[in-house]
Amino acid sequence: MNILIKLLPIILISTIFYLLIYNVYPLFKEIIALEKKLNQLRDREKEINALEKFVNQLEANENIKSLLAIKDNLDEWLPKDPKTDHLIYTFYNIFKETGLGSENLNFQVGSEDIYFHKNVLPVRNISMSFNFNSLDKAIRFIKIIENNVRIMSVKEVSFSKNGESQLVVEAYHLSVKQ
Amino acid sequence: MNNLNKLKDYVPIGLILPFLIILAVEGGLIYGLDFYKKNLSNKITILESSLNLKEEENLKKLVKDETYFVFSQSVNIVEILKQRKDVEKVIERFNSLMPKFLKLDNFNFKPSLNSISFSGSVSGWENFFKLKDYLLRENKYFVGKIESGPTYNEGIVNFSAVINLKPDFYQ
Repeated sequence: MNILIKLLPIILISTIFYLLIYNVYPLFKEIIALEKKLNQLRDREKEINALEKFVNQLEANENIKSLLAIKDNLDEWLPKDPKTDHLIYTFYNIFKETGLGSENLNFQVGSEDIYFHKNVLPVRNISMSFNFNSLDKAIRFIKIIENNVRIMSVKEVSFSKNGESQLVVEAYHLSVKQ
Repeated sequence: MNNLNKLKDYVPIGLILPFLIILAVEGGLIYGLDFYKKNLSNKITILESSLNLKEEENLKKLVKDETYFVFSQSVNIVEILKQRKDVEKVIERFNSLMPKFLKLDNFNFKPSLNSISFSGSVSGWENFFKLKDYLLRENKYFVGKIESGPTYNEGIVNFSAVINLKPDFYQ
């Protein structure tokens, strides 16, 4: 009994530190993490509200409304769907009309959204690679696709000293989750 | 009463009491923090689900909103066109900036990274060091470095290099 009473302060101090380390501190850490998450959600809420406001302003804007008049053109430049059959047809025609031929033609339809601007719908890419036996042909091909109705951009150009050239080109479509 | 007095004689209350008070405060703190944590978790769950729902509804509404749709198309088109690089001009600029004694084996241009990597050869070490100095020297068109090599074979020095293009390169 006497020893227990002598040890009592030590037992109590140990209990205090045990509770501090294994209960209070983890709880504090959890609360800080939750506060951080709550702040992130509040920021997200602000963004959603700002987007709603932005869309309302957009609907009232006469200049933006005028874009509706060229909707068909916009659909040609940046369609809603990948429309890979249209792309194949386009390249078939380019190869047929210009005599430019690619040994390979690979299509890869991207599944990730690409955001060029945070306030608008994202796009997805269709990546295509082409091989040519001369750099001139590759450059001619680039010029043709840059003037094509469907918006495309060159993502990579490679050539070697024997003239073999490889192009990676991307076309895009609007990513719309219905 | 008698027993309590006996206990007082054994237990140094003056020493124990502060610890007991700290323990009590700690207990209260744990209870309070736990309560606050549960409250916060609830708040987060409710806010998160309401935001998800709102976002989903908005997206459905936005996709059907023709004005927003054509606006998105226009903005994306402008951004894609803005990021396009004139490949022919890039190759011409590269040719005009590189010394004539460089023999190019491979060339690779990635517009999104604003970089050109190439491998090639020059005759002799003198030309190699001239080219290396040129690539590393501060200039307004690019920042360059030798990536691999050099290897020397019968008077020819082979290497590969990369240059990161500055905006003036495209002008």
